[in-house]
Amino acid sequence: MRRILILLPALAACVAPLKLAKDDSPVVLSKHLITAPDPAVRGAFPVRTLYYGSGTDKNRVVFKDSVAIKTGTVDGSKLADVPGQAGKDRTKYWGFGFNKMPVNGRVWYPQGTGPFPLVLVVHGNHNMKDFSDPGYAYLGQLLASRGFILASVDENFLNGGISRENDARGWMLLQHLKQWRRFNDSTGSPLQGKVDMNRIALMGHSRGGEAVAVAGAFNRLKHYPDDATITFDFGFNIRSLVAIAPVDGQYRPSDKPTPLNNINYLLIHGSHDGDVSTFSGLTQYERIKFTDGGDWFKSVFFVYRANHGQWNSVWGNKDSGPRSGRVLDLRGLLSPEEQRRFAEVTITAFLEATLNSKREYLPLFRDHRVAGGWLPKTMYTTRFEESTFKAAADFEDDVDVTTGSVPGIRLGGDSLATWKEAMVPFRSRNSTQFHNAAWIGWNNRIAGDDTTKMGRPAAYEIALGDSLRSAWRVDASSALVFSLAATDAKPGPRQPARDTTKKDSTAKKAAPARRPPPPRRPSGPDTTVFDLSVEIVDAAGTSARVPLSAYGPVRRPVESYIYRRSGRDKLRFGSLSEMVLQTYVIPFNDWRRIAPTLDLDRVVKVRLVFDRTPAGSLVLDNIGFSRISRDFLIATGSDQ
Amino acid sequence: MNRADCCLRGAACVLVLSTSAAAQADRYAPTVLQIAPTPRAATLASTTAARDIEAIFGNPAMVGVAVGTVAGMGRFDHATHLTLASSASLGPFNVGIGAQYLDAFTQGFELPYSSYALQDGGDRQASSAVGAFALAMTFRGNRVGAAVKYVEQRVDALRDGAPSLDLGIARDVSRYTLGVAVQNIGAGIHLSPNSSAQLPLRVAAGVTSYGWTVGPFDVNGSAGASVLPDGIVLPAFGLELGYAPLEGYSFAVRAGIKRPELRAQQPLSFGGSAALDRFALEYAYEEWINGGTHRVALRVR
Repeated sequence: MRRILILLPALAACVAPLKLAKDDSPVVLSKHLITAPDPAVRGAFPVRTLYYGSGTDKNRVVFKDSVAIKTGTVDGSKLADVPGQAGKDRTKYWGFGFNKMPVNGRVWYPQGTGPFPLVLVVHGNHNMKDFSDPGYAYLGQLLASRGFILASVDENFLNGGISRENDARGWMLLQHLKQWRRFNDSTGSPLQGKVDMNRIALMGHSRGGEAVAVAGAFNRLKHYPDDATITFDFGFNIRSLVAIAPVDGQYRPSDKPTPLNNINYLLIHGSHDGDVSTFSGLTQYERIKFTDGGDWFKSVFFVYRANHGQWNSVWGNKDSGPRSGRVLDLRGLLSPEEQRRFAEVTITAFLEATLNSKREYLPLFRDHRVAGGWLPKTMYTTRFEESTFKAAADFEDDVDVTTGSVPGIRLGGDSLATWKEAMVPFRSRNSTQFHNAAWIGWNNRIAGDDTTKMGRPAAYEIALGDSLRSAWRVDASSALVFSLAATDAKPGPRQPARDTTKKDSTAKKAAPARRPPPPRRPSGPDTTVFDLSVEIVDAAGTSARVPLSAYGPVRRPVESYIYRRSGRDKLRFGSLSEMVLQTYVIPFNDWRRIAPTLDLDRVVKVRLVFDRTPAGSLVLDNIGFSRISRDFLIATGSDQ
Repeated sequence: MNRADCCLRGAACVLVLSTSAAAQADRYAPTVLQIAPTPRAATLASTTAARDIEAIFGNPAMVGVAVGTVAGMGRFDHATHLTLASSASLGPFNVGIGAQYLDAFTQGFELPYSSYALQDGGDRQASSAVGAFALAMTFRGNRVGAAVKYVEQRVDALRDGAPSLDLGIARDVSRYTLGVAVQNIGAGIHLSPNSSAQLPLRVAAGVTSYGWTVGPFDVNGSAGASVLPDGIVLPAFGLELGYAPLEGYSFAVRAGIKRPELRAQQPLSFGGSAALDRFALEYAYEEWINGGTHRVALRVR
């Protein structure tokens, strides 16, 4: 018994204590400025449900006896394959192979004449016998009550021990849309005339999150990229995609990352995802370009304490399988209700804004702080870009740190301790976000015995040429947009400037310049407030500064501990925090309130002035200008 | 008849059969081939389909399914048993090596000597040893494997050795592994014109389960039977209840019941293990007629 008593504390010592970052939501989410109605509140439409499918499913009665509309099968054998005995076992279980995949879906739709916008949602990979498609009923009920048709697509037969099948998952979504076109056009169909095929959104979770991007890309192609003998004839008016904790790169068309242009895109992911623990969807987010002059935007929510499975009520908190409790620390997770409440708010608002043109929801995606009354109390990091954005510097083009992304942009630094361009890493070891950013560090303290002696605040600046300003129409109705994240590194104190007025004629040789002290990591967490000033300067030299923190949360890296066993996170990940850059949008007019004489039509320089935190470092990306619609700016953070 | 009845009746049959087995004289040599190589093997009773590092002594087809090294020791009242086995993957093949050594006493030069001597001792120093090398691979969904062994018996200054061969096949079906093995194909041991014995040639078939959970526990079992050249059937059953409170930490208790192969053996055995990451410490208690044996092993995966 004594030995057991000794063993139990020893085992307990191996379980990491619950470690959660200090929650700033009481401040960040303290206000609610958005005037739109709560998107998570049910609408006025009575909700009806139906099932469509093969009518022959041997494992699920709803796709056998309950189908209201029968559908045929599709041959996806060139897009998905499980060789050997495992493939035979699958065929035996399902009663069909990949050459006869059924088009099954469960539908929540509003009672009414319509036409209603159509949203398809698809699950990701999971135990194929633990059917995933019912897990989005909470979204189905909500969206249908608000006038959307939601169909949860059955792709359970693509689940289990299978890989390199995400093209098939995306292709299946388009096969479902073909069926929906038929449902809408067929006389006698219960859905006849109810579907607005010009207002379509696709939503996917996990592998399904990548599948929606694949579907978005395939939708505009005439041929399957990996076998052009397979022709495509989709061309649906898919306006919006929602990716929930997606993977990325499991399918690479023609061995390239999936390209995606001119579409609205919402990406959500949890910091405590025990399955897709790397925020893979950020790479797809970066690849989405707006090129056709249309009215598009893309937005990211990184949700602290959200996991992978709770977006689906079937999956729950078992991100690592049925024995997740042995591996994952489940204590710090948001409750399933909180996590799904967040999904209801953001997804519904996104669909209302992009399919129903309810633009009153747009401010949520520019600055989530405007919706403190809707969002569960946790920490969010958000990215945002809309189609008028023009990048002055995205750090992708060359190795000259002084040039921007287009001629007419010059980048410069003043008293910086660190200034380089490098890849942005993911927290997983040896993986990157496949894009570069500027890494900037400063320490305003002057080295020496006097620890209070400070130099001129360091600064990083972007100079804008006259011709480019004219070409981009940068003027009073523009906004400065950039994304940044603080890092843990803290450069050493600045060396004092040499007094060049005194010349030592006796010195035979100048002493070699001392290298600045290397950046150091503090032994404990740096708890000083992280902030900086953003300054613009006009051609006459008039300038004005605003604090960055007025335009979004400014945080030091937020660590997340996913695993239960002490030390496991450090072993698994290169960093305990995921580097998710926060986007800040600062309308030019906000500077004019501070300096009324500022000529906003002749802005020549933007400076990040590091005057609010004596020492620190950050990663900066996608600095540019936009002529952002006023709809995004209603209830702007600067109005608080 | 419900499942519990079935289990009880099966166990009763084994106990009844074991009584008659105990009445038989030991028939084969060397003794080291007739005792379980490790505590885990002792408590799971049938190792014909077990995913163990020491599969080289059970079914060579299962070599390499578990990769690592196990070192074990068994302490009888008048004998000591040592085991070392290791397995690894090598391209498309799985390879295993293993050795067992039994240091004991006998009460004469006759082979096979009485297994009672392990507990009671004797007047002559005896030892038996086996060294093995196994190769396994997967062929059309089946695991196939073979082990070549060299076995040796000494009693005082007399000694003889002989090569032997094991062949096995195994297959996963759902969450079960089925295995069949033929063990100890080879000539017998001849210490002198009056002292010789056959190797314990066996045809064995077994099944083990894996991946079953009941509440917070992992539950696995094994069942099997082997047939000796004289037609005696030796059924065996084992059950393992595992619990992993935290990733990397696991505890298991095991119990086995079998019809014994040696006359001094008893049907029951039980034991347990505690594992931390790649290391596991195992213990088993085996009943023998004149007392029990304690077995321990360290397993590194």
